[in-house]
Amino acid sequence: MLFNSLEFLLFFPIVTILYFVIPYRFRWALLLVASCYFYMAFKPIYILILGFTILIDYYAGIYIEKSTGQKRKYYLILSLIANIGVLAIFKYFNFLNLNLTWLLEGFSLKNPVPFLQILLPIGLSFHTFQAMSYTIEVYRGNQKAEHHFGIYALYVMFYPQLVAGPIERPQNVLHQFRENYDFDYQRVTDGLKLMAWGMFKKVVIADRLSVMVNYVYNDPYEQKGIPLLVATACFSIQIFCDFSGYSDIALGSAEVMGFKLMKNFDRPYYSKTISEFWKRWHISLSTWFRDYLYITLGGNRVSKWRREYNLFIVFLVSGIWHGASWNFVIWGGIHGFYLVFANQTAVFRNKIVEVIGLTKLPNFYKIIQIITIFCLTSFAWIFFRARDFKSAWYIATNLFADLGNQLQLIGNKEFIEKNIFLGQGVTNFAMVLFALIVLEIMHILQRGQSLREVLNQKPLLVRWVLYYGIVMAILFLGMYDAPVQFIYFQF
Amino acid sequence: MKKFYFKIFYFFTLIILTYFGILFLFRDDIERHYLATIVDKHQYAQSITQPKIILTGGSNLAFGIDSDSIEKQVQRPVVNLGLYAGLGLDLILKETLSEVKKGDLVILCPEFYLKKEGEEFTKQTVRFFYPNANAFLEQEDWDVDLKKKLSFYIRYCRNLIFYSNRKSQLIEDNSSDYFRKGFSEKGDLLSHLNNSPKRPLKDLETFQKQDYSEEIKLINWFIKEVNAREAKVIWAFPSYSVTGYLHNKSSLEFYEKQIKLEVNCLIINDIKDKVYPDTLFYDTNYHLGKDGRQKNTERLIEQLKILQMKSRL
Repeated sequence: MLFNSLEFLLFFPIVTILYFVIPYRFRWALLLVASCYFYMAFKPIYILILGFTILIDYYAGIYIEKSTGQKRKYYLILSLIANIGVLAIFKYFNFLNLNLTWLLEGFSLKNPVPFLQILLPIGLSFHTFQAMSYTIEVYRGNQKAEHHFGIYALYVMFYPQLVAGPIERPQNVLHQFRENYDFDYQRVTDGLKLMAWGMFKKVVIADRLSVMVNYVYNDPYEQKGIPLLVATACFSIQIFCDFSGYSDIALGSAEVMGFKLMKNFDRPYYSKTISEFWKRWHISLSTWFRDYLYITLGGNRVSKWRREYNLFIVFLVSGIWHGASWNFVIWGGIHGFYLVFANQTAVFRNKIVEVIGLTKLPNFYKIIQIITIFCLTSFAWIFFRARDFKSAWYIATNLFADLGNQLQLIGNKEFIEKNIFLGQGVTNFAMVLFALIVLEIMHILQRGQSLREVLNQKPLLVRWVLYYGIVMAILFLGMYDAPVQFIYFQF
Repeated sequence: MKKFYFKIFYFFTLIILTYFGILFLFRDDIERHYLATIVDKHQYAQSITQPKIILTGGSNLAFGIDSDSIEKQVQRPVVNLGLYAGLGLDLILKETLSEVKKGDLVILCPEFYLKKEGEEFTKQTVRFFYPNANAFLEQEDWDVDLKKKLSFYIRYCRNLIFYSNRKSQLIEDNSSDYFRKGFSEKGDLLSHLNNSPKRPLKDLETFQKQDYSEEIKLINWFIKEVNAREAKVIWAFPSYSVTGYLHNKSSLEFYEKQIKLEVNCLIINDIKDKVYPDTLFYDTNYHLGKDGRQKNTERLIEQLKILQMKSRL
């Protein structure tokens, strides 16, 4: 079920009203049933895969807690194998097999291993990682094993974050399922505001930008220079609004019922360094990799070069986590390279900044840093978005082709419509522009404070005008021509 | 909780009132909208009592046919149902069938992008303007239907706000083109005839060599139904620009071959016969301008007269 679907528009109020109406002791059951229904709306049979990993991890948690010594490790490994095994079969098997085929073809051999004719279960990487964080935390002694099967199942399946995160930690969420939340006017309306804002980002900005991005990325070979630059920048914003929009709806819908999920985005395109970007982008995944992979590899307690190597490995794995394709590996590799390069050249770069006097102009320096990070991350997104490596390479190598000639045509109406509006008329482009201005105003208002707190201090009339404006914008500026699935659902 | 429910109720009442307010404000859209012409076309078709010629297909017919001349030359009443290919072949054929009576001649002239399913929004718009079109649309489960309707009402209202043309549109002026009153009684578009051609021509599609067997099956079903009503169908390829033709030559040859081989009715021309210089087109590679329309109509009359002589009409 998509958050931007009619089904969810019915599902959400029904589940929420029932949640507040029924006695506390039955609420976990209601949420579990609702979550199963939510998940089964995609492909019912895949609930069995989820059931399998839930069962394994539930018992693994209990046995890890009960056992001592090596046995604890065995149970953890068993749980990890089950989770990674499911990922390997459903997500990576065909990718590995395809690479094996290429390799064998190089030796004029035929690959005897058949390809699996299966669809990737929706959100598999998200709930698998969430399940893994549970057994690891129990193993590390940071979390007690959950003995209530229903509550554990709900931890993995809680519908707001089931298919695209945030990837939660048991310490943050599990205890919340035992708490009794009453209807709280302020909290409920705060949650609804966050949901509306998420919906605005998704249907008004991301879905509108997706049409422009698709115009170029679905067949990039006809384009050079400006349209490639515009589409790439648009995709950077599209993916942010798509994913952070989803996260806002997830956080908001959980908040309405009283649950507090972790923040997943913190205005990432205002980052001044790549490492800051990763502290603000998909925070739940970045911290997952930090806590369970980077630290396991040695973290900061190893030699300088070993640390850089570990960082690079973490980003390669993060790339492959996103999708079974070399493009994602390259995307991860580029970010790994950015970080290692940034670490290794930090002293040198700081000296240059000092020499040219940028330190005396801190605001100007900050703007340059923000623009640089936006350009670097946008370049990496090319490999994330392109259909295959060939088209990604074409886009990456033609970003500035013919730019001189194109800049001379910049005043031409037809040129602008084709290469800057990317096939969208003036009205549609104006809608995108308006939405982006709203987004930026919100981001500026959000600096150092909660937007909702700022809103709550405003007079009723101002608030109502804003809510009315957001809902009207969702209705009339939203893209409903063809509902666009959330990009991160595929992972 | 009570306070919350009341506020939610007031808020959504406000939203709904706004929605209906917009619909009320733009209530004359039905008088202006290009697709609303479907109402007039069917009304006119139903008013003809003698055996008639029905032209049906895409917008190439609306822009490129002079039904008065055909009526005068062939001595049979003519109605031009051609409106927009985005309605989809399924809807176009079914709406045509609803007007076929004994002795009629249907000239079937769909665009090259032969698609059974049309654009959902276009179909819903037609249903909104012309409720009878409901019968031509596939019946779906209530939830799917509800989703489509909701999506339509939101998009339609949005279009009213952002794309509605509020200026006065007259056939005589030299700028208006796509509007309801721009059509003649018989269903030909006249509004573009005074206008200067628009350049560059739009909608230069790239056609693939694809299998149209599903669509051809539907066409053959239509032919069978028309024949069962003691009426006839003939096939005519649509007008197309030289640029469009050269751009898609091999795909169009493939398409023509498939049509000639599998469609069970008389085909009165080749694709090449309806390829005209770009200068004769108005705004797209399918829509003829004033001179092109005249030439195209003359060719069709010529072909119909030949058929008359051979007593095949």
